[in-house]
Amino acid sequence: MQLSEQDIEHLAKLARLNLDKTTEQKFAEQLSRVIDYVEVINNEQITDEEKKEFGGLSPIEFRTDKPGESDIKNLEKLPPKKEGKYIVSPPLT
Amino acid sequence: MEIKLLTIDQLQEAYASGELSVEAVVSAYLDSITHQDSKIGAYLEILGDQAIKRAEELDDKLQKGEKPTGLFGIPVAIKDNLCLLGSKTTAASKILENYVSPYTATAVEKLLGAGAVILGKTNLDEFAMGSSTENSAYKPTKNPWNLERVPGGSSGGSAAAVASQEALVALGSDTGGSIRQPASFCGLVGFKPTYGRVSRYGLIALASSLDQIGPFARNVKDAFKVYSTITGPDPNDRTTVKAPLYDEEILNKGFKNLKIGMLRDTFIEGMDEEVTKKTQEAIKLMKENSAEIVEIEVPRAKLSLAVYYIIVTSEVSSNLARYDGIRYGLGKEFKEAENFFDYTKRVRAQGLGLEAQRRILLGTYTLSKGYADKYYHKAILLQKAIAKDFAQAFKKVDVIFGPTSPTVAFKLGEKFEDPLTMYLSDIFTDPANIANLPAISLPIGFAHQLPVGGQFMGPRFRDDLVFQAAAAYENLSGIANLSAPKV
Repeated sequence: MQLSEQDIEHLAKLARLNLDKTTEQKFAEQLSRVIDYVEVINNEQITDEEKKEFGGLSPIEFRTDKPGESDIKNLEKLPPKKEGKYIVSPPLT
Repeated sequence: MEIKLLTIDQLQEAYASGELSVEAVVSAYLDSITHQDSKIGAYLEILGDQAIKRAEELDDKLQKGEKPTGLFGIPVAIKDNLCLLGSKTTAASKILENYVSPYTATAVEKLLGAGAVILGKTNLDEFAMGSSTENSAYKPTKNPWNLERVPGGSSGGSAAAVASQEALVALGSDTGGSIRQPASFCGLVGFKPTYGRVSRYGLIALASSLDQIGPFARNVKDAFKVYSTITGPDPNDRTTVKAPLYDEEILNKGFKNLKIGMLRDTFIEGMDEEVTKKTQEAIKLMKENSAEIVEIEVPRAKLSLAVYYIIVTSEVSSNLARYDGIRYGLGKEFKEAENFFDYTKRVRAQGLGLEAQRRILLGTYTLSKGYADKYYHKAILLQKAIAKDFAQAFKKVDVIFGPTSPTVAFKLGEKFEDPLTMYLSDIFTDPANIANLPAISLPIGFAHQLPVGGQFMGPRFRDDLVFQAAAAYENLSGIANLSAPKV
C-alpha cells in the first residue's frame, strides 16, 4: 500500500481533520488505490525542450489593490458566535 | 397547451400574444415540483413565494407593453453552489448548513437581469465532488428516467429538475464533467464553456483553475440562449475574458465547413457495448449526411484523468482550508475542544463528508514536501502537454466527437464505496477541463431504456463551433426536448 494508516494520521493532522481509526484504515486503502492509478503520470517523460516551452508554473499577476466602499451588513450576520462587533473563536493555545 | 413542453421561444411568443402569463407558467412548474420532487429530490430549497412574486412583477411589465426577450419569464433552477443574496447556499455540505449568501453570483445576476425566474436551489455532490449526487450531505437525487438510478453528478439536482419538467433550464458547474455527465444520464443538453467565458464570482470553489458554470436545457437552442446570457467579462473574476458574442444563426449552419475528428482510442475497454453501438450509429448518421469525419490522435489525452485528480485534490485541499466553522457555517459547540486548532479539527470532521475528507487528504499529500514535484508539478506540466496535443489536433479538425460517459446511468449505491471506479466515469469529460476546451453533451439515443449522450469538444474559445456541431446533429437526429416519464 502506498499510504499507511500512520501516513493518513499525519496528513489528517496537517489538514486539520479529526479521524477515527476505522476511517483512517479505510482511507489508507482507498487512497492507496487512487495513488496507484495516478502513478501513470510518472511513466510519461517530458523532454527538456518541452519543459522550457511550458515554462513551469505560470507566473501569477496580481491586480493592484484599490480600496473601495463595501457593504458588510450581510457579512456581519454570518458568524455563529459574536460578542458585539467581534467574532468569538476558541483560544489559540 | 402543455406549458412544460414549450421551449424558450415558444413560451415568449405565448407571453407576447397574451396567451400565457408568467404567473401561470411559474405556477405550472412549481406544481410539478410539489407533485414529484419528494420522489426525485432535485431541489434542496424551493423558492416558491419569491418566484410567484417575481412572476407577477414580470406580468406587470408585459401589461405595460414590454416585449419578452432574453430569458424573460423563463423558470430556472440553480445549483446550490451558486450564491443568491439572502438565500441559503450550502454546496450540499453540512459545514455550510447555515450559510446565507451575502451577495449574488455574477452568472445568477445575469439570469435575473435577463428576466429569468429562479425556482430554487438544486442538489449536488458536496462541494461538487462526485459523479452521482450521492455525496450530498442532505439526500441523494434520483434519475427521473429510473428512480433506482443516479442522475449523474455533481450537478445531478439541476439535471434531474430539467429532465422531470421541474424547471425549463438550469445552471450547473463543470470541473471534470459535472454538467455533461448528468446531462448525458438524464437525456439533456449540457454545455461547459471554455474556461474564462463565464464568471466564477459567487461560485463556491472546487478547483478554481478548472471550474466553469454552464447551462442544462432540453434542446441546443435553449442551452445557447442561457449561455449567451451568462457569458462575458467580469471585473470580479480576473480569469474572465472579452470574447465575441455569437449570433443564434450559427445554430442553422449545419455541418457546413465543419471537419469532425474522432479519437483513434475512442472506445475504451470496459465500456458498455450498447453505448459504443449508439456512438457508432451517431457517427454513421453524420457520415451519411455528408459530414466529414477523420480519425485523429491526441497522444497524451489518456493521462487526463490522472492529471485531473491530482490537480483537483491539490486545489481542494487549499480551497477547503477556509472552512473552520467560526466565521460562518456550522457553528457547533465543542465544549471539550481545548483550543482553536482542536475545535477546527472537530468541526471539519463533523461538517465535511467522506469524499471531501478523502480529497483534502489526497491533495495534502500531492502538495506536501517531497511529493509535490512527483505529483502536482508533474501534473501541471502534463496539463500543458495535453493542451498542446489538443491544439495540434485542432489544426486538422474543427470539433472532436465521442461518447460523454462510458455507461448509462448506474444504480444508486453501485459505485459509492469505490472512489476509483466512480472517478473513472469522468474519463471522457475530464480532457476538456484539463485542456480548457468548450464541450457539449447532447442525447444521441437510448440504451437499456436510459438516455445516452454524445460529446462535441472544440478548440479553446471556439464555443461557437461546439454549438454549431451540436445543433447540426440535433437537427439531423431529431432527438431533442426529451422529458422523463412523470413519477
